[in-house]
Amino acid sequence: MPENLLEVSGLTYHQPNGSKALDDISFFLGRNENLILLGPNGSGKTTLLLHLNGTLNGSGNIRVEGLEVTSRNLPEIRRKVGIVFQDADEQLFMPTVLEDAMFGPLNLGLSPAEAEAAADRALADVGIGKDLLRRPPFQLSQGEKRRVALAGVLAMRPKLLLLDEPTTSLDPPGQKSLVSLLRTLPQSKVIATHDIHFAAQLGSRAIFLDRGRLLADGSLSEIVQRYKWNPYD
Amino acid sequence: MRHTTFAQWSSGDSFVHALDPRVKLVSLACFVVALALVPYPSPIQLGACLLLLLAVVLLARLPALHIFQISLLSVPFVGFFAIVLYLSGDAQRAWAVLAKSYLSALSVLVVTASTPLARLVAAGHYFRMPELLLQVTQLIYRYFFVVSRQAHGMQTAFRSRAGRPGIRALHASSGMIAVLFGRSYNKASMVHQAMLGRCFSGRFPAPSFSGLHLLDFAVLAGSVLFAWGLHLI
Amino acid sequence: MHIPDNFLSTPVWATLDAIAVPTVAVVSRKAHAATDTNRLPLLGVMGAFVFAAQMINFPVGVGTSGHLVGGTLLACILGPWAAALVVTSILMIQALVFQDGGVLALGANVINMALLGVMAGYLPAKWLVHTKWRNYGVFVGGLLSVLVSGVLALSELTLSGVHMPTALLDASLGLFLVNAVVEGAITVSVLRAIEQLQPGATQLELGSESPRPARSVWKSLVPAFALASILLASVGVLIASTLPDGLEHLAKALGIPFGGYPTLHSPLSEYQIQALGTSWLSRAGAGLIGLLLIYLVCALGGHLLGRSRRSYS
Repeated sequence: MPENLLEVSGLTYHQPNGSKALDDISFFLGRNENLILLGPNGSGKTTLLLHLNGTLNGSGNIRVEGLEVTSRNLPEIRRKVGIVFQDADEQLFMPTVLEDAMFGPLNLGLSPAEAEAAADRALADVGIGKDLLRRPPFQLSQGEKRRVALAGVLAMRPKLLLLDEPTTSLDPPGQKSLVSLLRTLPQSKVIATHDIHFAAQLGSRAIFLDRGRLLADGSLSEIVQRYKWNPYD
Repeated sequence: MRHTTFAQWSSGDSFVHALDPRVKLVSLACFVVALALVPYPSPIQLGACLLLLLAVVLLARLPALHIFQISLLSVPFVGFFAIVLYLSGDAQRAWAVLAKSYLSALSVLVVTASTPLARLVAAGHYFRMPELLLQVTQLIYRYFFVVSRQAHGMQTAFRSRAGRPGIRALHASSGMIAVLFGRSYNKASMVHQAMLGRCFSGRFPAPSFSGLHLLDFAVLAGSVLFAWGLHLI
Repeated sequence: MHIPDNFLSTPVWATLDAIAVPTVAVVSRKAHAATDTNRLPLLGVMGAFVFAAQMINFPVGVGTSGHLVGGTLLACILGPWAAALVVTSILMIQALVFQDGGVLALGANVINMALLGVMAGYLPAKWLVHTKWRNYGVFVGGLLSVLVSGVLALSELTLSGVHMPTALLDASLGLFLVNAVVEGAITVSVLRAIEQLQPGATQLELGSESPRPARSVWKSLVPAFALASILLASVGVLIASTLPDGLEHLAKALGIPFGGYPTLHSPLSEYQIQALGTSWLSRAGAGLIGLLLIYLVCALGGHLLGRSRRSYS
């Protein structure tokens, strides 16, 4: 069993227009560890996350549980790595909540009955009631949509969970229930966020990106202080 | 907006809702074709059709008045052509066409108000309609309301800064549409990434149907009998 | 212009439905061939975009506002096959959810707007894409797509026995022309704005790198010819309808004998008794069937003759 869940070394990525979005990024993530991804807008946080599940393909080396992220390994990689994007609407593209949560398991080869069971379990885990199962996504609140999107990924039982600005558009109760939900999940998580208080609830380790370069890797509180990343301090 | 109303109505649980969508489509076809083949329906025939539709509305526990209000929306355009016929001397046909067109529209309304569109699309799969067409239809329906909400927002913003109509306003409207396009284009690529992230293989899972019940057969037989009987009245 | 149910006579709507079904299957197959999986969400969201954009008011002049139909715009962005497919989807949703257009008349509406309308919009734009009259090509495309859809719809109604007084016919055609001009203007304007915002998003942009313009023009001559024939027939029907016995003369002039299509007429003959049938109507109907058969042959012929390369653009 490889020691680290995630190993990134020398990751560099150029945008189609030539500009460098990621510049020689390297870091490790151990099992049962959460990592907070900090940095200004446009620093490459989302770009980095998209590399971790193979959506983008830069140069350098990324290994998930020892398996290298290459085009051949993509199906395996995507079983291990689940990503939840910032905009929940863009992830809920099936007609009903249940069908959306079943989408992933069905693609993994489960039978419809097994997929439904997995989806049911995941939706229950994220606190989505049975009455919402047959609803179309546009009827849900932002918080509910975010949870359904999360369930859709959890139903595939990934080892590593990537979350891109998960508190966007969430009201305080929504944020609170998201925090308590995420704390119960066993997966390791990489969370890109601007919300320091939210981050502090979920992890103590952070990396700081700026213009594609990794400037710091260490304790969350120390990095926040160093880069003055708390807006109200 | 209509979609939210329809979404609520179509997720009801009357026996009409529970009918197999394939049966509902076939019944609708029987009704509409039977009506179309009667060139000059008598008041009795029209009354029979109206009563049947009313019965379905009540059995489906749909709000009759609201349905009636929505059905009237189709009348103005139909009415225009009926007037054309009337003015060209063919009063009998004008009335016939007006009545038949209204009833046809009402029957379609009743079916769509009591069946989620996704189930109708699933029935389309069963009847061997082209897959790409059905998948695109589903996605359009899913995202139409999201995009039109954005469009509405932009139009409101536009109106509050609008000048006189003319070439500049046309350019401004076009710019607005271009921004809407850009957001839609990006949304499409995000949706695609979300699909890939959940191991999308290129084919959507085939929709499933629970078996046909006695009630389905009864409705089917009833529709055929009604269609045939309509011509005997 | 969405035709509601019960306006078209049975031979007309039934024939158009019968033609639309296999044609849409072919269009779907061609669109599928030209579409990577990453374009499936694009087709869906673009369809949603055009559908939503149809609701937006474009101020075009004193007190009037125009609306985008979007067939030509879609063809320039997605290519003709995908555009035809997306418009078909939109028409289906409009018929089912909004009762905008009939369900039996879907065949007619799909042929008018999704198939021939999109084709009429795409061809001029494509032909002029390599020239400096590129924008005019798009404008003419937008204009033709609305005009063709309108003329076809009117002639189908006329063939179904909706006798429009000449003045009303002229007024309708005038209205279509105005809408057509608006469509052309909006399409050009929007397409240019899109290209500024997102260069490379449009098919025609990509199409400008095509190394074989001559061959692709030949390939598109066949559907253009078919389209022109149908258009001529429709216009002929409309003109004839304003003349006494006009349609009868037209059918004679086209040399289409009454008994010339026995295999087609026998299943339809009983409807001719029920419907407002007179001999001129059935002859005109036969004329339309004949011309639509020509279109089908052209489309199939083009499909079989040409290798289905991805670059129709």
